[in-house]
Amino acid sequence: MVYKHVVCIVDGSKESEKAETRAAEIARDNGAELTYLFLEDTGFLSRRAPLTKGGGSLERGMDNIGRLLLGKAGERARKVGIPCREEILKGNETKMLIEKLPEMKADLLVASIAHAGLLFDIDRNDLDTKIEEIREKTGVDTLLF
Amino acid sequence: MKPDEHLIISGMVEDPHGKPVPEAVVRIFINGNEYGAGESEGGVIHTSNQGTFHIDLPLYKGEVYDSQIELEISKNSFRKIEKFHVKDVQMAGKSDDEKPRYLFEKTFQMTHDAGPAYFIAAIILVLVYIFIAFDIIHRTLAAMLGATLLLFISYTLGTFFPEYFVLSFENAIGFVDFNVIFLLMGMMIIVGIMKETGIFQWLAYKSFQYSKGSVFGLTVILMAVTAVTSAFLDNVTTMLLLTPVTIEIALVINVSPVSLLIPLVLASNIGGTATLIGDPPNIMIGSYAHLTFNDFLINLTPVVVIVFVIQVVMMKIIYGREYEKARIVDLEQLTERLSKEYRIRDKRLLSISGVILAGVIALFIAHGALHMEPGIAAITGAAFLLLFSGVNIVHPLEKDVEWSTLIFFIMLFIIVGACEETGLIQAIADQVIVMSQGSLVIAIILVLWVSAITSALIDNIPFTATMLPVVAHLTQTLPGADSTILWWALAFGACFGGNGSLIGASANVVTAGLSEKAGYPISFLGFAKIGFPVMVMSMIVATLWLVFVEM
Repeated sequence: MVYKHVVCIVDGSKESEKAETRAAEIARDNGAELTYLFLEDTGFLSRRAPLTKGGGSLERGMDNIGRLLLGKAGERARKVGIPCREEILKGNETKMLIEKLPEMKADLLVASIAHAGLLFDIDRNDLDTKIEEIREKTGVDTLLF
Repeated sequence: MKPDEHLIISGMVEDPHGKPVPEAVVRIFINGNEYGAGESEGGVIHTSNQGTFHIDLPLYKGEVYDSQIELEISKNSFRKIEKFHVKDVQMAGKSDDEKPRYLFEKTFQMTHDAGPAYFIAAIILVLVYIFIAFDIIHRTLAAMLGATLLLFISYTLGTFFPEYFVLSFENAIGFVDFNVIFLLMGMMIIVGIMKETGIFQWLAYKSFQYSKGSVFGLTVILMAVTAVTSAFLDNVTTMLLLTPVTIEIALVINVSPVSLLIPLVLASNIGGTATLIGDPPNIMIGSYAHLTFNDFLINLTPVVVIVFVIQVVMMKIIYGREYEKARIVDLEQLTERLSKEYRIRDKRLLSISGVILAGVIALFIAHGALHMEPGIAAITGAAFLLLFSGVNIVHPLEKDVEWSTLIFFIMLFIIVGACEETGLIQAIADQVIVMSQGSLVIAIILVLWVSAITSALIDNIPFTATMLPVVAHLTQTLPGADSTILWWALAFGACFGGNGSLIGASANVVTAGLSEKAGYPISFLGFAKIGFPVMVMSMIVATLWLVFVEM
């Protein structure tokens, strides 16, 4: 058994669907725990729209989206035949993962890289550019789709 | 000295476009010697904000005719008027001290001189534009650096070498349009409190309910809700609140959220064009050109309605097939879940804020008759809403007032003021007149399309701020342009242009960001494929309207 706890980031993209299924298969084959995470990082909005802080309306909407996407990921895990946990994390993506992965005793991080293809990047904390940092600071293996 | 007679010298100093030149220095010379007994700074007199000056010159008997009295008028960035000989004075009666009084009046025209101050202002304006366009630093910091640098140079280099003096602090403050600042601040507070009630998400849920399972019907209703909301409230806030619930509905009915979000954000930019308060460029134009809320309603709203209808047809053509793919598993169950999730959370607060918003809009409509600046109406509404709602004032001031935006506006006004002061704006206006060959139609098309394409690529706020004095000059000087038509060209261009690209409007970026967070990225080209044709369509409608209906 190589991995004990597989953590997979869910973001709703086609690449993410592949990552979710593969994470479930790896967890099943290794007899490992499986956790799906939805990262609610709206930090990019502070540059463009500081108004986001008010009312929690945005957070509520994002929570609902997260629950929906995690629910779909959960269905994939069940199809593979493995139970899973689902969790929503709020804050800066990179910081959250660096803190949370060791706490969870995760040893494999599965994620997708969905490029927006913007002329100017809108989120300077993009996960794909930070994945090396996460690997170095947490010591977990990473598998990207 | 006990004078035997008085010579009253009154004058007005203007630039070549007839705009008053304030703070020009007027010196008087009698027989070649500078007259030293006048205002606090010896014989130096400054023109007022209206460009006027008034001198009561006490003279000995006969001096009025026997002496050579000359005026010298100077100001940084203007060519000096050298020793103008005061002659042809008129006898005007007697002064309070019963001495004879003579009068001399003249309007002086000063032409701009492209000296060091002119180039400093030009370089700083271009640098600020580059910093904002390429997102090198935060736009507020870019504008703040630009404005402070202009003042810093004026009070360091400019103190020792007057040709480097760009603008005074007093003048800089005078260029800040506090009507715009108050209007933005007031509306931010009102919207900030209103959004706590859940009204925006409730509207999205109701759109879903009324569409009865038709995805195209849902899109049209959501577009209409977004356009109307954006006409009265800030586009970014509108999209910020509607995007998550729209994504959620799209995910549940199995259509790509992008196929709902792009029509919505385009409708938001179109709807925002309809009123004086719908989009920051309109707020700036209304305040600068003294156009009323009703002027905007009469001249812009009909075009917005036509553009909206055509946009609906375009969305049907573009996304019709995607909408047909929708699979709604249990409509009733979904409607019930949405009704619980997106209900009105505070009915009392909604009633209070609804009444106050209606009152503020009524004041906007009446502001022409009341001579009340819209900023006063908005800030009054915000103050009363804070009072009656019982909301702690600290919360909206901390969370809802976008201070960085307000500071951005203040700094921009100063930068553009400096460009006006040094003659750069007039030079741009003169170039536009040359390019338009004196034709109003060409000028309309130029302002409209250049504004749209520029706004599609850079922030439309600094662009509009720069264009305000340019359009004002064109309106004064171009034959036939003395109506408000060029202002509407600027408004259409700056607002509709936001649809041309993903970075054309903040609402686009916010929507794309949220969509990306849900796993549905909207690429620059993906947005442009839909947004650019919509922008071109809206510009064609606006061009036809301005040329064939408004002219």
